[in-house]
Amino acid sequence: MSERLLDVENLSVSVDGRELLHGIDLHIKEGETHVLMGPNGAGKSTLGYALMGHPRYQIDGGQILFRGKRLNEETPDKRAKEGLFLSFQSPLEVPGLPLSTFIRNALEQRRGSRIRLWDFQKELQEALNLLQMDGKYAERELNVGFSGGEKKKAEILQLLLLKPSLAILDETDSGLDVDAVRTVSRGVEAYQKSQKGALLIITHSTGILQELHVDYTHILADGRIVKTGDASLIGEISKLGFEAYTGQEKQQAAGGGV
Amino acid sequence: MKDKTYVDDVDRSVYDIRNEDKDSYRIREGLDRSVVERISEEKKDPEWMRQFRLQALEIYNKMPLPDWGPPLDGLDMDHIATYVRPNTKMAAKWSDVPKEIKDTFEQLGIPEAERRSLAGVGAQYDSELVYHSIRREVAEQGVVYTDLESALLGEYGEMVRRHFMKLVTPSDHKFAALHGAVWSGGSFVYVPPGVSVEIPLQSYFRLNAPGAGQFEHTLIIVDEGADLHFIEGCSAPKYNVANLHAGCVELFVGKGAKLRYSTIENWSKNMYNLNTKRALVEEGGVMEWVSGSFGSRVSYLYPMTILKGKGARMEFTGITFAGKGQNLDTGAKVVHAAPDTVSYINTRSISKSGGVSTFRSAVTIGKQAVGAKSAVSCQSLMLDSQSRSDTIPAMDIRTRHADVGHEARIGRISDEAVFYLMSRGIPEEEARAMIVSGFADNVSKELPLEYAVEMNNLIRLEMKGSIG
Amino acid sequence: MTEMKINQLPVRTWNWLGMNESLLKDRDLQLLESAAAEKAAILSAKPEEQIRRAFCFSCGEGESKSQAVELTAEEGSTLTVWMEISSERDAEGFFALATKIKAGRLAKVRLVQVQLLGEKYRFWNDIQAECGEGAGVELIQLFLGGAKTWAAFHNSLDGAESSVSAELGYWLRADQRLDLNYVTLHKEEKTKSQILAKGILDEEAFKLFRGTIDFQTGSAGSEGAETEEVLMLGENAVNQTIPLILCAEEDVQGSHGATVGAPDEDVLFYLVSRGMEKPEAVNLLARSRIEALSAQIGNEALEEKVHEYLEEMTQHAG
Repeated sequence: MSERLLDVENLSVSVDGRELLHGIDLHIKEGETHVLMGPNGAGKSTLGYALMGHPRYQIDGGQILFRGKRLNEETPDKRAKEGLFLSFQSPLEVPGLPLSTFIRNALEQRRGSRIRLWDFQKELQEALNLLQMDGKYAERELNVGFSGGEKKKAEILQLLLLKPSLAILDETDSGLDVDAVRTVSRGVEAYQKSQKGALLIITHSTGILQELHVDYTHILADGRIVKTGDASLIGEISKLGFEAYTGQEKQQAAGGGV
Repeated sequence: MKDKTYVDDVDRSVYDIRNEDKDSYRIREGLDRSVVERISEEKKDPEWMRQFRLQALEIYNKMPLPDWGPPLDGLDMDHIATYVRPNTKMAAKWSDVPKEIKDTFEQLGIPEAERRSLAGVGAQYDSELVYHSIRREVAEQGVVYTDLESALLGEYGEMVRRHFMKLVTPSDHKFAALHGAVWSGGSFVYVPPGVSVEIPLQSYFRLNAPGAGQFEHTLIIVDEGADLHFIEGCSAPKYNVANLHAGCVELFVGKGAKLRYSTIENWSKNMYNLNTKRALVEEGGVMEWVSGSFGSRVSYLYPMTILKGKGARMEFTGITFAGKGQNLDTGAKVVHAAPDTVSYINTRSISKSGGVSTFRSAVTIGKQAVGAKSAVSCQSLMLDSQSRSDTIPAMDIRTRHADVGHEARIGRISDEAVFYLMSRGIPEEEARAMIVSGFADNVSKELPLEYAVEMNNLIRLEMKGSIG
Repeated sequence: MTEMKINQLPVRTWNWLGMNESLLKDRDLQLLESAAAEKAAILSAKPEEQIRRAFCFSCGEGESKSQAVELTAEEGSTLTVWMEISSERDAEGFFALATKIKAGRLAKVRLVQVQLLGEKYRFWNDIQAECGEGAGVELIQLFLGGAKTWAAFHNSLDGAESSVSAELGYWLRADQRLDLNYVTLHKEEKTKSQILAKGILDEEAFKLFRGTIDFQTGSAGSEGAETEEVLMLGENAVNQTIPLILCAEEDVQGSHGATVGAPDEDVLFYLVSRGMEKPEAVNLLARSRIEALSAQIGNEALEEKVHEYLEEMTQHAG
């Protein structure tokens, strides 16, 4: 059966001395798709950054295990090499660095060997086709002057080429029109299938989820996972909103029960 | 009640009485007339050149050192003749090459055999040999490419005389005067009207020829409608023994002609690089400068362009990387002296490990330059807080019919960008180097591929060990 | 002959540019020295106090005067000062004004200077300011008159999270000259500075703007920005600009931008297409620059005076 992939145990995270996540537990096995939902400010992006090892996000307690290996102290590049990937909510612009050069470099770092240009070009072209991206994007400077949609597609392009074993998609669908969401979903689907890739999809809308198979859904509120369920929970949230769950959380915290 | 008077305070803080001027630094021991005469003799100068040298010497002895720019106290100005002494012995053995440069070669992965031949450049390949191989390709088009001494004594003697130090005159500044007195070596290029030289000409090996020294003079005349790309210096380390370089470059761009002048400067880090470069551009002509400054201990380098003819254009693209122990003062000057002239200056500078980089520029737009356009953009990157980066751009605009824009930015590598690249599996040092290379791409994309690659390698070398 | 260097650029550059400093000579220098013995006007705000005060320096024909002003704002106080410097339209003379500002911890000082001197007046204006922790200095200046004006503003951000904003506007015509030197020193962490200079150069006017942002060691997290916009209207106007950024600290953000030129043709076309004559349209563009700044004066009587002055000025020109 499926192997353990990510185990987050009792993880607490703070930024500039303020604790944003309080004792998160999350377990993802190979090939599983998890959805993390919750209202704005719940700490969803914080979890993504903390898993990837952003230096500003400090781990105060608990641990992150990836294939049983503790990642707490690892730098982001090491985590990437282990097979983690974070699709940024707002990808950074790096002037002067062409997208294709960057991906090839990252790929070589990950594989630890040089990649023949011809092989790379072929792979790149396939991924570009899948995402309906013009080949010239690959030669443009990384994210510089890209529209919101183009940036998100460029993230998925990297996902497809870097082939991680767990991809965290942070609001990858936000700010996209219906067509772009469909294209991005197609890319994510291809990743799910071809890589047996696991996913942690952070979102506060349900758009991107309609076309994807989902195994588990978690609701994050005030820095805690307040409810975990299967895919049906998404529909429930659509109907009830988050308030129902955040309220429940407060009552529990106050010791009131139901 | 306070009873402080106004005079007490102001005296200390605001005023500087002119009598206290301290700019009258005196040279105790001028350059010897006999040294200059000996150079002239060795070079078999025509009489006018001998006179020219002696006049320049007089000017040199009278002129003060600049009262602005990086300090020059490391230069032994009292015994300037030491630097001038003809440099007859170059390091011809690999073992004589300074360690730092050898390490660079190792890291660049240049094969042993190639390295041996490079080390032997000074002894084995003299300048003529190199030129001959190029000359065959371009000579058929009537292009002249020779060393300046030969040109001076040959059929182009009169042309040299008409142009030599007419753009950069010895009275320009102290080091131009020094150059006028002791210049030696350098190139002469003439491209006849309408001729397009397809491959770039390079002055790479010439500087290593015995006696060429550090006072080389480059004179390039691109006649009407002609087109040339000239590459100077390249990234090959020059392990000059002396530590003063006061070269001079004079470029004449004819009507409708185009000249691109590219330099990747990587002098060893004990060099005082006080180079003067200037171009005069006639109607509709185009001057393009591509300039990378990586070496030297101290640099004063501001190529100047005089847009003399209507519609003349210039573009300056530069990068300066100041590392440990370096104080690199670089930039550009442009004079708009005719209508519809256009200038673009685009520079990047990087400071690291205590290095000081200064961007300095002057854009002057005369009253006659109706319809002139100028845009200056300079960006600076600070890699740590031991370093320093200053931006000193000046503009003087005397017509309302001009369009002038200027922007400058200074900052650091964004932590977010580093994290972003690292999150894709790229180690921190590599991520930083990639961002810095990207920052420098304004220049690298203007260079021929092999030089761009070499420049990138230089940046990577400089960035080695920049973490922790 | 006696002369004195003033408005010196913090870091020198090529001498041939003539921007490294200016010289105060002979009579002006004597006037400045003799005038310098005057006593200072002192205004201070106690902790948490709020004070507003307007000064009117009215300069007479043939006079040479000086005035020193010391403004002290103690912790948490707010000090707002307006200064009007004016004379009869055709008066001649010399006026030297030196202002010292000390803004203590979390204090706010707002200084507004409006110079409406006559065509032959010479004006020397010097402001030295110091900001303590979290303090803020805001300077608004309008230079509309005078034959020659030398203005210096030197602000030291001594305390963490202190900030300074200097906004100045000018409209020069005939052979009026304006010589400026603005320096902000960032000495502590998370300090902020902004210099914004906007002006119009008509006829044979001359302006030299020196602006320096100096990030010193210890100023991590600081930001500084300089912006200059010059509208060139005069055929013989001269504009000199030298905006410096000096930086000895990695974690800072500094920027400057300058745009110099005639009014945008597209904008003019737009205005003219709405039935305005071209000179009128140009005038409107110029005026709106000054009025945008004038609207920030925050003192109705003074704003009215600027308005009147502009009315008279533009009528004269028309």
